[in-house]
Amino acid sequence: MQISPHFNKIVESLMVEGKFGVCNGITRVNDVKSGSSTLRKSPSGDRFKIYIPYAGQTITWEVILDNSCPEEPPDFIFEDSDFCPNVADIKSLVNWDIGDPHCLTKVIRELLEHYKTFHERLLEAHSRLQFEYSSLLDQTELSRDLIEVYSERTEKKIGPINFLIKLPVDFSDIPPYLTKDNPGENSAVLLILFPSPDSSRVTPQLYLSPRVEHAFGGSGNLRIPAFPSGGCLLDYVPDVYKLLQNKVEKTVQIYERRKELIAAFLSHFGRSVLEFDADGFFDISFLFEWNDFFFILYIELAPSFPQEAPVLTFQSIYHESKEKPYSEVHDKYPYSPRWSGPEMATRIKTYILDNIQAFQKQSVISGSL
Amino acid sequence: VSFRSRSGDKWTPMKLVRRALSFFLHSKQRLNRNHQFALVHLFDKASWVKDFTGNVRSIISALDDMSDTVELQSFNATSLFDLIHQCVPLPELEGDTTILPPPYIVRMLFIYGRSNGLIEFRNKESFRQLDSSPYFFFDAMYVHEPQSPENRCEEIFDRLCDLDEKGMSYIFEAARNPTRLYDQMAKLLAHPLQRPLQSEIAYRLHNIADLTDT
Repeated sequence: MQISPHFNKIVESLMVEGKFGVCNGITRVNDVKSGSSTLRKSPSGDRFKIYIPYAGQTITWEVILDNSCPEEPPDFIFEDSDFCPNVADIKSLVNWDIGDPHCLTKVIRELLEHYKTFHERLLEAHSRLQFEYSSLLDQTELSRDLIEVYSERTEKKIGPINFLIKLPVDFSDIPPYLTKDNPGENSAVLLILFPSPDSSRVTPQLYLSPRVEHAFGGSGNLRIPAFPSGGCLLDYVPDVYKLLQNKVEKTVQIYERRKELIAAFLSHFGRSVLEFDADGFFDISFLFEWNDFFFILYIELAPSFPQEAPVLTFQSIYHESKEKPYSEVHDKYPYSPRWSGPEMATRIKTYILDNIQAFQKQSVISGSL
Repeated sequence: VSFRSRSGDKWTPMKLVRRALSFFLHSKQRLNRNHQFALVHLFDKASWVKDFTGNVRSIISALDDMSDTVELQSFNATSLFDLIHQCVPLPELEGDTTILPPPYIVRMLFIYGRSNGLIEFRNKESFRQLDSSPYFFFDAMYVHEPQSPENRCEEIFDRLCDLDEKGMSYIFEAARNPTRLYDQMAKLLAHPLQRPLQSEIAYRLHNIADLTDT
Protein backbone atom coordinates (compact mmCIF):
# COMPACT_ATOMS: atom_id res chain seq x y z
CA MET A 1 0.00 0.00 0.00
CA GLN A 2 1.18 3.51 -0.69
CA ILE A 3 1.32 6.44 1.66
CA SER A 4 -1.47 8.96 1.27
CA PRO A 5 -0.32 12.11 -0.57
CA HIS A 6 -1.12 14.14 2.58
CA PHE A 7 1.81 12.51 4.31
CA ASN A 8 4.31 11.95 1.50
CA LYS A 9 6.48 14.91 2.38
CA ILE A 10 6.78 14.19 6.06
CA VAL A 11 7.54 10.50 5.51
CA GLU A 12 10.10 11.31 2.85
CA SER A 13 11.76 13.78 5.17
CA LEU A 14 11.91 11.13 7.86
CA MET A 15 13.52 8.61 5.52
CA VAL A 16 16.07 11.05 4.13
CA GLU A 17 16.92 13.13 7.18
CA GLY A 18 15.99 10.75 9.93
CA LYS A 19 19.45 9.76 11.05
CA PHE A 20 19.33 9.49 14.75
CA GLY A 21 21.53 8.50 17.57
CA VAL A 22 25.04 7.25 18.00
CA CYS A 23 25.10 5.33 14.75
CA ASN A 24 23.45 7.91 12.55
CA GLY A 25 21.52 5.03 11.10
CA ILE A 26 18.73 5.49 8.61
CA THR A 27 15.13 5.07 9.66
CA ARG A 28 13.16 2.60 7.57
CA VAL A 29 9.49 2.80 6.88
CA ASN A 30 7.43 -0.29 6.17
CA ASP A 31 4.16 -2.08 6.59
CA VAL A 32 1.99 0.74 5.34
CA LYS A 33 -1.72 0.31 6.04
CA SER A 34 -4.87 2.34 5.88
CA GLY A 35 -7.01 3.16 8.85
CA SER A 36 -10.10 3.60 6.77
CA SER A 37 -12.27 0.58 6.18
CA THR A 38 -13.59 1.61 2.79
CA LEU A 39 -11.63 0.69 -0.29
CA ARG A 40 -10.27 3.66 -2.16
CA LYS A 41 -8.64 3.99 -5.53
CA SER A 42 -6.08 6.56 -4.53
CA PRO A 43 -3.24 5.75 -2.12
CA SER A 44 -4.52 6.18 1.40
CA GLY A 45 -1.91 4.70 3.66
CA ASP A 46 -1.95 6.56 6.93
CA ARG A 47 -0.42 4.13 9.34
CA PHE A 48 2.97 2.55 9.09
CA LYS A 49 5.83 1.11 11.06
CA ILE A 50 9.19 2.75 11.46
CA TYR A 51 12.38 0.91 12.31
CA ILE A 52 15.06 2.84 14.11
CA PRO A 53 18.52 1.57 15.00
CA TYR A 54 19.18 2.19 18.67
CA ALA A 55 21.81 0.82 21.00
CA GLY A 56 22.51 -2.17 18.78
CA GLN A 57 18.83 -3.05 18.44
CA THR A 58 16.17 -2.06 15.99
CA ILE A 59 13.17 -0.57 17.67
CA THR A 60 9.81 -0.67 15.97
CA TRP A 61 7.25 2.02 16.48
CA GLU A 62 3.94 2.31 14.77
CA VAL A 63 2.86 5.73 13.57
CA ILE A 64 -0.88 6.31 13.25
CA LEU A 65 -2.15 9.27 11.28
CA ASP A 66 -5.59 9.91 9.88
CA ASN A 67 -6.13 10.37 6.19
CA SER A 68 -9.49 12.02 6.75
CA CYS A 69 -7.99 14.54 9.20
CA PRO A 70 -4.42 15.00 8.06
CA GLU A 71 -3.75 18.01 10.34
CA GLU A 72 -4.22 15.87 13.43
CA PRO A 73 -0.98 14.85 15.12
CA PRO A 74 -0.10 11.13 15.06
CA ASP A 75 -0.61 8.49 17.71
CA PHE A 76 2.09 6.01 18.44
CA ILE A 77 2.30 2.38 19.45
CA PHE A 78 5.61 1.53 21.07
CA GLU A 79 6.57 -2.12 21.13
CA ASP A 80 7.86 -1.54 24.64
CA SER A 81 4.65 -1.11 26.62
CA ASP A 82 6.44 0.40 29.61
CA PHE A 83 7.52 3.37 27.54
CA CYS A 84 4.70 5.87 27.89
CA PRO A 85 5.86 9.46 27.55
CA ASN A 86 3.50 12.22 28.45
CA VAL A 87 2.20 13.84 25.26
CA ALA A 88 2.37 17.27 26.85
CA ASP A 89 6.14 16.79 27.20
CA ILE A 90 6.65 16.24 23.47
CA LYS A 91 6.80 19.83 22.27
CA SER A 92 6.93 19.03 18.59
CA LEU A 93 3.80 16.92 19.00
CA VAL A 94 2.00 19.71 20.80
CA ASN A 95 3.05 22.09 18.04
CA TRP A 96 2.31 19.65 15.25
CA ASP A 97 2.09 21.44 11.93
CA ILE A 98 1.38 19.20 8.94
CA GLY A 99 2.55 22.04 6.66
CA ASP A 100 6.12 21.62 7.96
CA PRO A 101 7.75 18.73 6.06
CA HIS A 102 10.02 18.05 9.05
CA CYS A 103 7.29 17.78 11.63
CA LEU A 104 7.36 13.99 11.83
CA THR A 105 11.16 13.89 11.94
CA LYS A 106 11.13 16.34 14.83
CA VAL A 107 8.63 14.28 16.78
CA ILE A 108 10.58 11.08 16.31
CA ARG A 109 13.75 12.79 17.39
CA GLU A 110 12.11 14.06 20.53
CA LEU A 111 10.52 10.72 21.28
CA LEU A 112 13.88 9.04 20.91
CA GLU A 113 15.33 11.41 23.44
CA HIS A 114 12.65 10.39 25.88
CA TYR A 115 13.19 6.75 25.02
CA LYS A 116 16.88 7.11 25.71
CA THR A 117 16.17 8.71 29.09
CA PHE A 118 13.69 5.94 29.83
CA HIS A 119 16.39 3.33 29.34
CA GLU A 120 18.92 5.33 31.30
CA ARG A 121 16.50 5.41 34.24
CA LEU A 122 16.00 1.67 34.05
CA LEU A 123 19.63 1.26 35.04
CA GLU A 124 19.10 3.06 38.32
CA ALA A 125 17.61 -0.05 39.90
CA HIS A 126 20.83 -1.97 39.34
CA SER A 127 23.80 -0.52 41.14
CA ARG A 128 26.46 -2.20 39.04
CA LEU A 129 24.98 -1.02 35.73
CA GLN A 130 24.25 2.38 37.12
CA PHE A 131 27.86 2.64 38.20
CA GLU A 132 29.07 1.56 34.76
CA TYR A 133 26.97 4.17 33.05
CA SER A 134 27.57 7.12 35.32
CA SER A 135 31.29 6.48 35.67
CA LEU A 136 31.63 6.54 31.89
CA LEU A 137 29.87 9.87 31.78
CA ASP A 138 31.58 11.46 34.73
CA GLN A 139 35.10 10.14 34.49
CA THR A 140 35.88 9.82 30.80
CA GLU A 141 35.73 12.23 27.89
CA LEU A 142 32.58 10.59 26.64
CA SER A 143 29.50 12.76 26.53
CA ARG A 144 25.92 11.57 26.81
CA ASP A 145 25.28 11.85 23.10
CA LEU A 146 27.94 9.21 22.43
CA ILE A 147 26.32 6.54 24.58
CA GLU A 148 23.08 4.62 24.17
CA VAL A 149 21.80 1.99 26.60
CA TYR A 150 19.07 -0.56 26.15
CA SER A 151 17.73 -3.17 28.54
CA GLU A 152 15.76 -6.16 27.37
CA ARG A 153 13.07 -6.94 29.94
CA THR A 154 10.80 -9.86 30.56
CA GLU A 155 8.49 -10.45 33.48
CA LYS A 156 11.07 -12.27 35.50
CA LYS A 157 14.34 -10.69 34.61
CA ILE A 158 16.29 -7.96 32.96
CA GLY A 159 18.90 -8.68 30.36
CA PRO A 160 20.75 -8.59 28.06
CA ILE A 161 21.69 -4.97 28.51
CA ASN A 162 23.39 -3.15 25.66
CA PHE A 163 25.80 -0.26 25.89
CA LEU A 164 26.49 1.28 22.50
CA ILE A 165 29.42 3.70 22.63
CA LYS A 166 30.78 5.83 19.86
CA LEU A 167 34.51 6.30 20.30
CA PRO A 168 35.71 9.82 19.52
CA VAL A 169 38.76 8.65 17.54
CA ASP A 170 40.32 11.17 15.20
CA PHE A 171 40.12 9.58 11.76
CA SER A 172 40.83 12.69 9.76
CA ASP A 173 44.11 11.45 8.25
CA ILE A 174 42.85 8.05 7.23
CA PRO A 175 43.79 7.32 3.59
CA PRO A 176 41.00 7.94 1.09
CA TYR A 177 38.79 5.08 -0.02
CA LEU A 178 37.99 5.65 -3.64
CA THR A 179 34.67 4.10 -4.41
CA LYS A 180 31.58 5.40 -6.14
CA ASP A 181 29.40 4.31 -3.25
CA ASN A 182 29.79 6.95 -0.61
CA PRO A 183 31.65 5.21 2.20
CA GLY A 184 30.07 7.59 4.66
CA GLU A 185 31.64 9.19 7.65
CA ASN A 186 34.40 7.54 9.61
CA SER A 187 33.40 5.99 12.88
CA ALA A 188 34.19 3.33 15.43
CA VAL A 189 31.43 2.05 17.63
CA LEU A 190 31.73 -0.32 20.55
CA LEU A 191 28.76 -2.53 21.46
CA ILE A 192 29.02 -4.09 24.89
CA LEU A 193 26.58 -6.72 26.06
CA PHE A 194 25.82 -7.55 29.66
CA PRO A 195 23.80 -10.78 29.76
CA SER A 196 22.40 -9.73 33.14
CA PRO A 197 23.02 -6.87 35.57
CA ASP A 198 25.67 -8.65 37.59
CA SER A 199 27.16 -10.98 34.99
CA SER A 200 30.89 -11.13 34.50
CA ARG A 201 30.64 -12.60 30.99
CA VAL A 202 30.59 -9.25 29.29
CA THR A 203 31.03 -9.37 25.49
CA PRO A 204 32.38 -6.44 23.50
CA GLN A 205 32.12 -5.99 19.73
CA LEU A 206 33.76 -3.32 17.65
CA TYR A 207 32.14 -1.92 14.51
CA LEU A 208 34.18 0.15 12.09
CA SER A 209 32.83 2.20 9.21
CA PRO A 210 33.85 0.99 5.70
CA ARG A 211 36.60 3.51 5.10
CA VAL A 212 38.25 2.81 8.44
CA GLU A 213 38.01 -0.94 7.87
CA HIS A 214 39.53 -0.54 4.43
CA ALA A 215 42.41 1.51 5.84
CA PHE A 216 43.11 -1.14 8.47
CA GLY A 217 43.29 -3.78 5.75
CA GLY A 218 40.02 -5.56 6.33
CA SER A 219 37.59 -6.42 9.09
CA GLY A 220 39.72 -9.07 10.70
CA ASN A 221 42.65 -6.82 11.22
CA LEU A 222 41.97 -5.23 14.55
CA ARG A 223 41.52 -7.36 17.63
CA ILE A 224 40.19 -5.77 20.73
CA PRO A 225 40.99 -7.34 24.08
CA ALA A 226 38.37 -9.44 25.83
CA PHE A 227 36.52 -7.73 28.63
CA PRO A 228 38.42 -8.64 31.79
CA SER A 229 36.32 -10.49 34.33
CA GLY A 230 35.71 -8.19 37.22
CA GLY A 231 36.60 -5.26 35.00
CA CYS A 232 34.55 -2.19 34.30
CA LEU A 233 33.75 0.04 31.36
CA LEU A 234 35.56 2.93 32.96
CA ASP A 235 38.86 1.14 32.38
CA TYR A 236 37.97 -0.93 29.34
CA VAL A 237 36.49 1.71 27.05
CA PRO A 238 39.44 4.14 27.30
CA ASP A 239 41.78 1.18 26.65
CA VAL A 240 39.98 0.33 23.41
CA TYR A 241 39.92 3.99 22.49
CA LYS A 242 43.68 4.26 22.94
CA LEU A 243 44.22 1.07 20.98
CA LEU A 244 42.22 2.45 18.07
CA GLN A 245 43.87 5.84 18.15
CA ASN A 246 47.29 4.17 18.06
CA LYS A 247 46.24 1.92 15.24
CA VAL A 248 45.06 4.92 13.26
CA GLU A 249 48.32 6.74 13.79
CA LYS A 250 50.34 3.69 12.87
CA THR A 251 48.23 3.00 9.78
CA VAL A 252 48.57 6.55 8.58
CA GLN A 253 52.32 6.53 9.14
CA ILE A 254 53.00 3.33 7.27
CA TYR A 255 50.63 4.33 4.50
CA GLU A 256 52.60 7.55 4.04
CA ARG A 257 55.86 5.58 3.97
CA ARG A 258 54.55 3.28 1.24
CA LYS A 259 53.27 6.20 -0.76
CA GLU A 260 56.62 7.96 -0.42
CA LEU A 261 58.51 4.93 -1.66
CA ILE A 262 56.23 4.31 -4.62
CA ALA A 263 56.47 8.00 -5.52
CA ALA A 264 60.26 7.78 -5.35
CA PHE A 265 60.28 4.77 -7.69
CA LEU A 266 57.96 6.58 -10.07
CA SER A 267 60.21 9.56 -10.12
CA HIS A 268 63.22 7.37 -10.97
CA PHE A 269 61.50 4.99 -13.35
CA GLY A 270 58.14 6.48 -14.33
CA ARG A 271 58.75 5.90 -18.01
CA SER A 272 59.22 2.17 -17.47
CA VAL A 273 56.20 1.52 -15.29
CA LEU A 274 53.90 -1.40 -16.01
CA GLU A 275 51.44 -1.19 -13.12
CA PHE A 276 51.26 0.01 -9.55
CA ASP A 277 48.79 -0.06 -6.69
CA ALA A 278 47.37 3.44 -6.65
CA ASP A 279 45.05 2.67 -3.74
CA GLY A 280 47.18 1.25 -0.93
CA PHE A 281 50.60 1.67 -2.61
CA PHE A 282 51.56 -1.92 -1.88
CA ASP A 283 53.27 -2.76 -5.17
CA ILE A 284 54.79 -1.42 -8.35
CA SER A 285 56.34 -3.15 -11.34
CA PHE A 286 58.61 -2.11 -14.16
CA LEU A 287 59.98 -3.32 -17.47
CA PHE A 288 63.72 -2.69 -17.67
CA GLU A 289 66.28 -3.07 -20.41
CA TRP A 290 69.95 -3.62 -19.81
CA ASN A 291 72.20 -4.20 -22.82
CA ASP A 292 69.30 -5.33 -24.98
CA PHE A 293 68.17 -7.70 -22.25
CA PHE A 294 64.63 -6.93 -21.11
CA PHE A 295 63.22 -8.16 -17.81
CA ILE A 296 60.38 -7.37 -15.41
CA LEU A 297 60.90 -6.23 -11.86
CA TYR A 298 58.11 -6.57 -9.27
CA ILE A 299 58.44 -4.61 -6.04
CA GLU A 300 56.07 -5.61 -3.28
CA LEU A 301 55.57 -4.06 0.16
CA ALA A 302 54.27 -6.10 3.05
CA PRO A 303 51.84 -4.62 5.60
CA SER A 304 54.80 -4.60 7.97
CA PHE A 305 56.81 -2.30 5.72
CA PRO A 306 58.94 -0.33 6.50
CA GLN A 307 60.04 -2.77 9.19
CA GLU A 308 60.26 -5.43 6.53
CA ALA A 309 62.20 -4.71 3.33
CA PRO A 310 60.37 -4.55 0.00
CA VAL A 311 60.43 -7.89 -1.81
CA LEU A 312 62.01 -7.70 -5.25
CA THR A 313 61.21 -10.26 -7.93
CA PHE A 314 63.12 -10.42 -11.18
CA GLN A 315 61.20 -12.11 -13.96
CA SER A 316 62.38 -13.23 -17.39
CA ILE A 317 60.37 -12.53 -20.52
CA TYR A 318 62.25 -15.06 -22.58
CA HIS A 319 62.86 -18.13 -20.44
CA GLU A 320 60.51 -20.42 -18.62
CA SER A 321 60.86 -22.75 -15.71
CA LYS A 322 58.11 -25.23 -14.81
CA GLU A 323 55.72 -23.75 -17.37
CA LYS A 324 55.94 -20.29 -15.90
CA PRO A 325 58.31 -17.44 -16.67
CA TYR A 326 61.61 -17.88 -14.86
CA SER A 327 61.80 -15.64 -11.81
CA GLU A 328 63.95 -14.96 -8.78
CA VAL A 329 62.87 -13.50 -5.45
CA HIS A 330 65.28 -11.22 -3.64
CA ASP A 331 64.25 -10.22 -0.15
CA LYS A 332 67.55 -10.14 1.69
CA TYR A 333 69.62 -7.23 0.60
CA PRO A 334 71.23 -4.25 2.35
CA TYR A 335 68.29 -2.39 3.82
CA SER A 336 67.31 -0.14 6.69
CA PRO A 337 63.81 0.95 7.61
CA ARG A 338 65.27 4.28 8.62
CA TRP A 339 66.09 5.32 5.08
CA SER A 340 63.78 7.79 3.42
CA GLY A 341 61.74 6.74 0.39
CA PRO A 342 64.10 8.41 -2.10
CA GLU A 343 67.15 6.84 -0.46
CA MET A 344 65.56 3.39 -0.49
CA ALA A 345 64.71 3.76 -4.17
CA THR A 346 68.25 4.78 -5.04
CA ARG A 347 69.80 1.93 -3.11
CA ILE A 348 67.43 -0.63 -4.57
CA LYS A 349 68.28 0.68 -8.02
CA THR A 350 71.96 0.06 -7.31
CA TYR A 351 71.15 -3.43 -6.07
CA ILE A 352 69.20 -4.17 -9.25
CA LEU A 353 72.04 -2.99 -11.48
CA ASP A 354 74.49 -5.10 -9.51
CA ASN A 355 72.40 -8.23 -9.95
CA ILE A 356 71.08 -8.11 -13.51
CA GLN A 357 73.98 -9.90 -15.07
CA ALA A 358 73.72 -12.80 -12.66
CA PHE A 359 69.97 -12.96 -13.20
CA GLN A 360 70.41 -13.00 -16.95
CA LYS A 361 72.92 -15.84 -16.79
CA GLN A 362 70.79 -17.80 -14.39
CA SER A 363 67.64 -17.38 -16.48
CA VAL A 364 69.45 -18.79 -19.52
CA ILE A 365 70.80 -21.77 -17.57
CA SER A 366 67.74 -22.62 -15.55
CA GLY A 367 65.10 -21.68 -18.04
CA SER A 368 64.14 -23.08 -21.38
CA LEU A 369 63.49 -21.12 -24.53
CA VAL B 1 42.22 -7.63 -22.15
CA SER B 2 40.87 -9.42 -25.15
CA PHE B 3 43.04 -10.82 -27.88
CA ARG B 4 42.54 -11.01 -31.57
CA SER B 5 44.92 -13.29 -33.27
CA ARG B 6 45.45 -14.04 -36.85
CA SER B 7 48.12 -16.36 -37.95
CA GLY B 8 50.44 -15.53 -40.79
CA ASP B 9 51.37 -17.61 -43.79
CA LYS B 10 52.06 -21.29 -44.06
CA TRP B 11 55.12 -21.58 -41.85
CA THR B 12 53.32 -19.94 -39.03
CA PRO B 13 54.85 -17.74 -36.42
CA MET B 14 51.79 -18.96 -34.57
CA LYS B 15 53.95 -20.97 -32.22
CA LEU B 16 56.02 -17.90 -31.49
CA VAL B 17 53.02 -15.73 -30.90
CA ARG B 18 51.47 -18.41 -28.67
CA ARG B 19 54.55 -18.50 -26.52
CA ALA B 20 54.82 -14.73 -26.32
CA LEU B 21 51.14 -14.58 -25.37
CA SER B 22 51.68 -17.22 -22.73
CA PHE B 23 54.39 -15.07 -21.15
CA PHE B 24 52.11 -12.08 -21.44
CA LEU B 25 49.24 -13.81 -19.68
CA HIS B 26 51.35 -15.19 -16.85
CA SER B 27 53.05 -11.86 -16.30
CA LYS B 28 49.84 -9.88 -16.45
CA GLN B 29 48.21 -12.12 -13.92
CA ARG B 30 51.23 -11.75 -11.65
CA LEU B 31 50.80 -7.98 -11.85
CA ASN B 32 47.25 -8.26 -10.56
CA ARG B 33 45.14 -11.33 -9.86
CA ASN B 34 41.99 -9.53 -10.97
CA HIS B 35 42.83 -9.18 -14.64
CA GLN B 36 40.66 -11.20 -16.99
CA PHE B 37 41.20 -12.25 -20.57
CA ALA B 38 39.05 -13.25 -23.52
CA LEU B 39 40.11 -14.64 -26.86
CA VAL B 40 38.65 -13.79 -30.25
CA HIS B 41 39.70 -15.45 -33.44
CA LEU B 42 39.19 -14.02 -36.87
CA PHE B 43 38.46 -16.31 -39.74
CA ASP B 44 36.24 -14.83 -42.40
CA LYS B 45 34.22 -13.60 -39.46
CA ALA B 46 35.23 -12.72 -35.95
CA SER B 47 34.34 -15.39 -33.43
CA TRP B 48 34.57 -15.51 -29.67
CA VAL B 49 36.82 -18.41 -28.72
CA LYS B 50 37.05 -17.95 -24.97
CA ASP B 51 35.03 -15.67 -22.73
CA PHE B 52 36.57 -13.49 -20.03
CA THR B 53 38.36 -15.55 -17.44
CA GLY B 54 41.19 -15.21 -14.97
CA ASN B 55 42.21 -18.79 -15.70
CA VAL B 56 45.37 -18.28 -17.72
CA ARG B 57 45.85 -21.96 -18.48
CA SER B 58 42.46 -22.25 -20.14
CA ILE B 59 43.26 -19.40 -22.48
CA ILE B 60 46.60 -20.92 -23.34
CA SER B 61 45.00 -24.27 -24.16
CA ALA B 62 42.37 -22.50 -26.25
CA LEU B 63 45.27 -20.90 -28.09
CA ASP B 64 46.94 -24.26 -28.54
CA ASP B 65 43.71 -25.72 -29.88
CA MET B 66 43.33 -23.04 -32.51
CA SER B 67 44.23 -24.47 -35.87
CA ASP B 68 46.40 -22.59 -38.32
CA THR B 69 44.35 -20.51 -40.64
CA VAL B 70 43.84 -20.19 -44.32
CA GLU B 71 45.05 -17.40 -46.53
CA LEU B 72 42.53 -14.64 -46.94
CA GLN B 73 42.86 -11.57 -49.08
CA SER B 74 41.91 -8.97 -46.58
CA PHE B 75 40.83 -8.65 -43.02
CA ASN B 76 37.38 -7.38 -42.13
CA ALA B 77 37.83 -5.04 -39.20
CA THR B 78 34.16 -4.04 -39.14
CA SER B 79 33.04 -7.53 -38.18
CA LEU B 80 35.59 -7.58 -35.40
CA PHE B 81 34.55 -4.31 -33.81
CA ASP B 82 30.89 -5.17 -34.27
CA LEU B 83 31.43 -8.34 -32.29
CA ILE B 84 33.33 -6.62 -29.52
CA HIS B 85 30.85 -3.77 -29.27
CA GLN B 86 28.10 -6.34 -28.96
CA CYS B 87 29.74 -8.60 -26.43
CA VAL B 88 31.88 -6.47 -24.18
CA PRO B 89 30.19 -4.10 -21.72
CA LEU B 90 32.14 -0.98 -20.89
CA PRO B 91 31.84 0.58 -17.44
CA GLU B 92 29.58 3.58 -17.15
CA LEU B 93 31.03 6.90 -16.22
CA GLU B 94 30.00 7.43 -12.62
CA GLY B 95 30.82 9.99 -10.02
CA ASP B 96 33.76 12.29 -10.47
CA THR B 97 35.66 10.56 -13.26
CA THR B 98 38.74 12.66 -12.71
CA ILE B 99 39.17 11.11 -9.27
CA LEU B 100 37.29 7.87 -9.22
CA PRO B 101 38.92 4.97 -11.00
CA PRO B 102 36.53 2.78 -13.02
CA PRO B 103 35.81 -0.76 -11.75
CA TYR B 104 37.72 -2.08 -14.78
CA ILE B 105 38.83 -1.03 -18.24
CA VAL B 106 38.73 -2.95 -21.51
CA ARG B 107 41.81 -3.24 -23.63
CA MET B 108 41.81 -4.82 -27.02
CA LEU B 109 45.12 -6.38 -27.95
CA PHE B 110 45.05 -6.96 -31.67
CA ILE B 111 47.68 -9.39 -32.87
CA TYR B 112 48.00 -9.39 -36.62
CA GLY B 113 50.28 -11.59 -38.67
CA ARG B 114 49.50 -10.81 -42.29
CA SER B 115 52.16 -9.34 -44.48
CA ASN B 116 49.83 -8.99 -47.44
CA GLY B 117 46.31 -8.88 -46.14
CA LEU B 118 45.11 -5.31 -46.03
CA ILE B 119 42.80 -4.18 -43.27
CA GLU B 120 39.39 -3.31 -44.63
CA PHE B 121 37.40 -1.04 -42.43
CA ARG B 122 34.22 0.11 -44.11
CA ASN B 123 31.85 0.75 -41.26
CA LYS B 124 33.49 2.38 -38.27
CA GLU B 125 30.32 2.83 -36.22
CA SER B 126 31.06 0.15 -33.61
CA PHE B 127 34.65 1.21 -33.34
CA ARG B 128 33.66 4.83 -32.77
CA GLN B 129 31.20 3.83 -30.07
CA LEU B 130 33.82 1.78 -28.26
CA ASP B 131 36.56 4.34 -28.71
CA SER B 132 34.41 7.14 -27.34
CA SER B 133 34.68 5.61 -23.88
CA PRO B 134 37.65 6.69 -21.78
CA TYR B 135 37.74 3.11 -20.50
CA PHE B 136 38.38 1.44 -23.85
CA PHE B 137 41.85 1.02 -25.28
CA PHE B 138 43.14 -0.37 -28.54
CA ASP B 139 46.66 -1.83 -28.71
CA ALA B 140 48.25 -3.75 -31.55
CA MET B 141 51.13 -6.13 -32.17
CA TYR B 142 51.99 -6.57 -35.82
CA VAL B 143 54.12 -9.58 -36.69
CA HIS B 144 55.28 -9.59 -40.28
CA GLU B 145 57.82 -10.55 -42.93
CA PRO B 146 60.77 -8.26 -43.35
CA GLN B 147 59.62 -5.38 -45.44
CA SER B 148 60.13 -5.74 -49.18
CA PRO B 149 58.54 -4.57 -52.45
CA GLU B 150 56.70 -7.90 -52.53
CA ASN B 151 54.65 -7.27 -49.44
CA ARG B 152 52.56 -4.48 -48.01
CA CYS B 153 53.84 -4.38 -44.45
CA GLU B 154 54.37 -0.67 -44.28
CA GLU B 155 50.91 0.08 -45.59
CA ILE B 156 49.33 -2.35 -43.15
CA PHE B 157 51.25 -0.90 -40.24
CA ASP B 158 50.15 2.60 -41.20
CA ARG B 159 46.54 1.46 -41.27
CA LEU B 160 46.95 0.02 -37.80
CA CYS B 161 48.37 3.31 -36.55
CA ASP B 162 45.36 5.07 -38.03
CA LEU B 163 43.21 3.22 -35.53
CA ASP B 164 44.95 5.09 -32.72
CA GLU B 165 42.56 8.02 -32.88
CA LYS B 166 42.93 9.02 -29.25
CA GLY B 167 46.70 8.87 -29.19
CA MET B 168 46.64 6.52 -26.20
CA SER B 169 47.42 3.26 -27.97
CA TYR B 170 50.52 1.15 -28.02
CA ILE B 171 51.19 -0.09 -31.53
CA PHE B 172 54.21 -2.31 -32.02
CA GLU B 173 55.66 -4.35 -34.84
CA ALA B 174 58.21 -7.12 -35.11
CA ALA B 175 59.60 -8.68 -38.26
CA ARG B 176 59.60 -12.29 -37.24
CA ASN B 177 62.37 -11.66 -34.75
CA PRO B 178 61.59 -13.71 -31.66
CA THR B 179 63.46 -11.56 -29.15
CA ARG B 180 61.88 -8.43 -30.47
CA LEU B 181 58.46 -10.01 -30.33
CA TYR B 182 58.93 -10.91 -26.68
CA ASP B 183 60.23 -7.43 -25.91
CA GLN B 184 57.28 -5.74 -27.57
CA MET B 185 54.75 -8.03 -25.91
CA ALA B 186 56.33 -7.21 -22.56
CA LYS B 187 55.87 -3.50 -23.23
CA LEU B 188 52.22 -4.22 -23.85
CA LEU B 189 51.88 -5.37 -20.23
CA ALA B 190 51.69 -1.77 -19.12
CA HIS B 191 48.33 -0.70 -17.71
CA PRO B 192 46.68 1.80 -20.08
CA LEU B 193 45.63 4.08 -17.23
CA GLN B 194 49.08 4.20 -15.66
CA ARG B 195 51.53 3.86 -18.53
CA PRO B 196 53.27 6.74 -20.30
CA LEU B 197 52.40 7.53 -23.91
CA GLN B 198 54.17 5.32 -26.41
CA SER B 199 56.35 8.23 -27.43
CA GLU B 200 57.54 8.63 -23.83
CA ILE B 201 58.46 5.11 -22.89
CA ALA B 202 62.04 4.48 -21.81
CA TYR B 203 63.19 1.20 -20.35
CA ARG B 204 66.93 1.44 -20.37
CA LEU B 205 68.58 1.20 -16.99
CA HIS B 206 71.60 3.35 -16.57
CA ASN B 207 74.38 2.52 -14.24
CA ILE B 208 74.46 5.33 -11.72
CA ALA B 209 78.25 5.49 -11.99
CA ASP B 210 78.00 5.99 -15.76
CA LEU B 211 75.68 8.92 -15.32
CA THR B 212 77.80 10.76 -12.81
CA ASP B 213 80.94 10.37 -14.91
CA THR B 214 79.45 12.10 -17.97
